[in-house]
Amino acid sequence: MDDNDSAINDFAILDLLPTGAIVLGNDYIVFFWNSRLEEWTGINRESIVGSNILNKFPPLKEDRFYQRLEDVLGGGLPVIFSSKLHKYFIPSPLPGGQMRQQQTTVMPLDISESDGRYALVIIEDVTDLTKTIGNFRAMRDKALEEIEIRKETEERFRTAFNTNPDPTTIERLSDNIIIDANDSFFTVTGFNREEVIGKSMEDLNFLVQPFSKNQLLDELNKCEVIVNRELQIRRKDSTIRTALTSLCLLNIAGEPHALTISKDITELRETQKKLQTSLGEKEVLLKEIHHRVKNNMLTISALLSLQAAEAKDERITKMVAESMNRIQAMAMIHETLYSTESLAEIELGEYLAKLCEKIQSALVFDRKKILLTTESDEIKLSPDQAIPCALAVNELVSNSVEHAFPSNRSGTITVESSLLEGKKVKLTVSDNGVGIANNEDLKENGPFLGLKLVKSLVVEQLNGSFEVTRQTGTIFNITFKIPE
Amino acid sequence: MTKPLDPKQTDALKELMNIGVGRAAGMLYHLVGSHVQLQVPDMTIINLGDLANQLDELLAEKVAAVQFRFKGSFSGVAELIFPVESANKLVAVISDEDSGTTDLDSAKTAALTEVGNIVLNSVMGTFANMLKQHLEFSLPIYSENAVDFLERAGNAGVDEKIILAQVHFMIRDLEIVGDIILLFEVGSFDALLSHIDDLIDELEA
Repeated sequence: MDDNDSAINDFAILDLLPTGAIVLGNDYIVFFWNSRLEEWTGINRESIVGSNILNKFPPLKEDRFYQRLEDVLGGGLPVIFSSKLHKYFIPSPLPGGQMRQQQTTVMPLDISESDGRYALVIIEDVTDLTKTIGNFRAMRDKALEEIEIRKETEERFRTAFNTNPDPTTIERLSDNIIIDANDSFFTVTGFNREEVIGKSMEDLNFLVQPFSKNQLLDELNKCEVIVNRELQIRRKDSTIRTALTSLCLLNIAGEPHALTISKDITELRETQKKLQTSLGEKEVLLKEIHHRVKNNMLTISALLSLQAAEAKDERITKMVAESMNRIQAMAMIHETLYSTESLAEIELGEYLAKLCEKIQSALVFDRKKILLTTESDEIKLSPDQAIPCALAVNELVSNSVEHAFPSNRSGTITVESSLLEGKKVKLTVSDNGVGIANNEDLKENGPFLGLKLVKSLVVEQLNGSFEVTRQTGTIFNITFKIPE
Repeated sequence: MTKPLDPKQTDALKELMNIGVGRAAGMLYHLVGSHVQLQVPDMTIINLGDLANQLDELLAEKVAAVQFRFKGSFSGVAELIFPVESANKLVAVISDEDSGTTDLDSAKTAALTEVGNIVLNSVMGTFANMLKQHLEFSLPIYSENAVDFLERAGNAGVDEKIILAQVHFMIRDLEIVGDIILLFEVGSFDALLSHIDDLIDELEA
């Protein structure tokens, strides 16, 4: 015990170490067990000094420890047991139950007064370090993964940039310097890479109105994306092109840049212009045709009128007058067509108002006696449907004027057109006159032919339906559909 | 100048080196739990001045090295050196985990230091035992700068001798190549050779 006591005194300095420390004799007897190890293992010095460490900690008898311990105690070289390969040398649980990870160094120790061989075991607690390394590794792996993803994204962007068929540039917003441009940019503008990179568009005299581009860049700073603005650009050979330009704000190395993609729409604009001109010409031509058709119809009408003046038979005069009215109703369609903006459509209400005005002036001599009113939703019809409508209304209104108010009766004729669901048009001509006779009577009397004509116009040309209702006066309802 | 080695001396040196790595393989077996083979197919003895040429290839890339000093009747530095990528693979196969990235952190370098400790201890231990010399050894340290070692060694003079041995590790179908460098201080190599001559005489007697 005296030996042990003196050993304890000799090695007391090891208590000052932040590491675990053991002094072993060559027979594996523990000579010293420092206070750090007492704390870690709960085994106090008195109870372990003098004992064989292999018996206290049998795993140390395993070859991976034993052979190398033998070497050290045999006077050999220092050995290291790393935490990565051994986890720990002397098991010592942490408060959570997890084992303390240890980095252990065993070195031969010369003790001059003694004959035997000794070894000093230094045990470092690397649990926290290992944990830190683990966290660091996880962090690093994540960072590497992110870098990989970024690389891929960048690669994709690069490919998209390079292969974009539209000229594309990246400009630094601080000084408007072009830092990159794709092949298409060089092809379209005629400049080469050396002439473009590091210059601004102004340096290249590239923009026909530099101000408009600067405005765009200012705007970009506020809204980040600008889509489809037209710019005039000047190529290296001084020819001017029209570009449809979109810009997007990019952040490169913390600095704002503009990614500009321009589509060369010079040809498109030229074609559009040509089309516009040709359309204008076509419009003039169509108007001229409608004008001529109207004039021809009016000529026919005038000729008929001359002929009618020669006729002695009142029935013939009446028939000619009716025909003239029909021709004029059709002529009005052409007149409306060429005098309105659209050459393809007739606004029905507008037309009916004009038609009624005309019928009234032709047939009704005293406006106070028969009042003609029209009311209409906004309905646009093609000439194909407008002409049968015009003729039908002409017929029905004429009928009413002629037959509904005998013996100087006064009354009202109303023409209404309304747009129903499913693009259906309902056209109503009603009067508050004496009421039309029934079918049998119609056959005998005048209006029958007119109604037959209306029916054929509605059914055959408008694909619609036609009905007559007699209440106070007569109501004619025409329904048809506007084709899609 | 040292006179050239005779074939017997060369053979004896090679033999010592092979016994050393053989012992190391046995130690590593207990550590890894599977068969480990270590071979030194090639060993050259050169002047320190020529080392840079020999190691050009190795020095071109980042290296991981474990080294310690030995002192006694012959003194110098023992070093085991790997390209970092190989070192990383070696640690991964020994600790039986995925090597992940190619850089080494301190847990890995500690493990690598242990491997270096085992290999160099076995080699130098064999030299000491077989030649019956008592040597003192410093604790092994890890370094990623072989040039530093060369410069330090270079201060001692270009006439110093170096034993350069390529060492092949074969662990679980993985072959990793490293270099063992034993640098002998002025006069130490001659001392080593005289001890080797003694050993040869003893064996032949």
